[in-house]
Amino acid sequence: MRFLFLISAITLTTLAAGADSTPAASNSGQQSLRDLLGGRSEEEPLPPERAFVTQAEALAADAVAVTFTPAPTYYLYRSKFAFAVTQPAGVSVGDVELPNGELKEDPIFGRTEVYHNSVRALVSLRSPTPLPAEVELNVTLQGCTERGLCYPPDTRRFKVQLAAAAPTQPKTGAAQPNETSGAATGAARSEEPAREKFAALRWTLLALGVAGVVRLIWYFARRRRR
Amino acid sequence: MEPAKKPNRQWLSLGIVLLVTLGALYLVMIGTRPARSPAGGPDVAAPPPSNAAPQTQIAPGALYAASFPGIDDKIVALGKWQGKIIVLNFWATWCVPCREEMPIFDRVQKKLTDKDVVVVGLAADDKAKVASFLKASPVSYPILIGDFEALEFARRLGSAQAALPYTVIIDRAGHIVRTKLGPYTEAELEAQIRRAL
Repeated sequence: MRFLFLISAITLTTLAAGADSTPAASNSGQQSLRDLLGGRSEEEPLPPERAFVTQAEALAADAVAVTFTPAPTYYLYRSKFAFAVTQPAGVSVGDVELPNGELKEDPIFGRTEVYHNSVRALVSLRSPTPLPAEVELNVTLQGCTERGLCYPPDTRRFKVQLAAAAPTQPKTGAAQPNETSGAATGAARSEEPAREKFAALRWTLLALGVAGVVRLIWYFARRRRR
Repeated sequence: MEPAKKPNRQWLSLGIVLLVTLGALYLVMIGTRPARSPAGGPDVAAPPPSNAAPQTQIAPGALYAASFPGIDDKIVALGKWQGKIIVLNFWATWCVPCREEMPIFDRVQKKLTDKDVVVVGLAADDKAKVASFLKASPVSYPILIGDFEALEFARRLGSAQAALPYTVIIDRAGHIVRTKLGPYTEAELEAQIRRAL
């Protein structure tokens, strides 16, 4: 009975520790332990729309502000930003104002400018005719994480109401010039709560396993005393 | 009084242990993605998870059938290196850590070439950028150009966000034995390849 208890407790602790073996981490016990202690795996990068939160809002009838907010330890490249009006035809992007970034030494391309903190691009619009009430703006961004992972260039589409200067949400289901946004990231998003649920379960199981071991030690101690 | 109480407590303990074990098994069954253990390992037959979690298990046939053009535009299938250890490295010119890592792959490839190890660099980039980069920083191992398809392939092989660098080590039988998201150190890369030999 005692042995059964001990074996179960140890098995449980091990199972709990190993339960969240992601493809990138399943071969490493150390990673599982780090997983357990840190809640979620270091190996799993955030979905791009959470890694680089992007919002667009009209500032004036002919200007849009696009705000990029990288997650902590994530950063964006200044030179990789691109803005283009896709609708209506005739409207185009004029000047783009971006604050200076932090200088980062690139061993191959020399000095590059990056943003670790929220940054706002002021995008002015041009049109031969009076500007419409609404434009569709494609915003391209590219960034990396400090631990050495990079995301592919990502183009997001925004519908911006120029008349009413209200913040807009990325248009979902819109055709994306690359594969990064849209359905794929939508799936990644819905995956998130499930993973957290597993983490909670894993913690509970670990606690029960530990409690089992403690209880066993206590049992032994009592027996010895008798 | 003690002997009368003991069996009760034991049964209670057993019940708790059983319940928790079942819970753990359930969690492991639904929570674990297919293990990438080598062929014949006990986990290979594990059923695939029903959610959209990235899967690194792909039939060797499908893996070898994947094909991409080289710099010379000739289409090359991964099956070209069937029977060898393939170290498939996803990279791009927009990925600085990937570029920094390439000399490591170059050195390890040269070191292990007589062990039937081949590094294949699959670029998630267009040909012009890859060609101009390789002109400045040549490597001795084959480079294929996958552009967006390379990103899709990386996702299929387990890099859920298509983040790079991403490296997949494929054994002689075409099974993925190791994946790594993020840059390698030379010692780590060599050790992992040697484990697959």
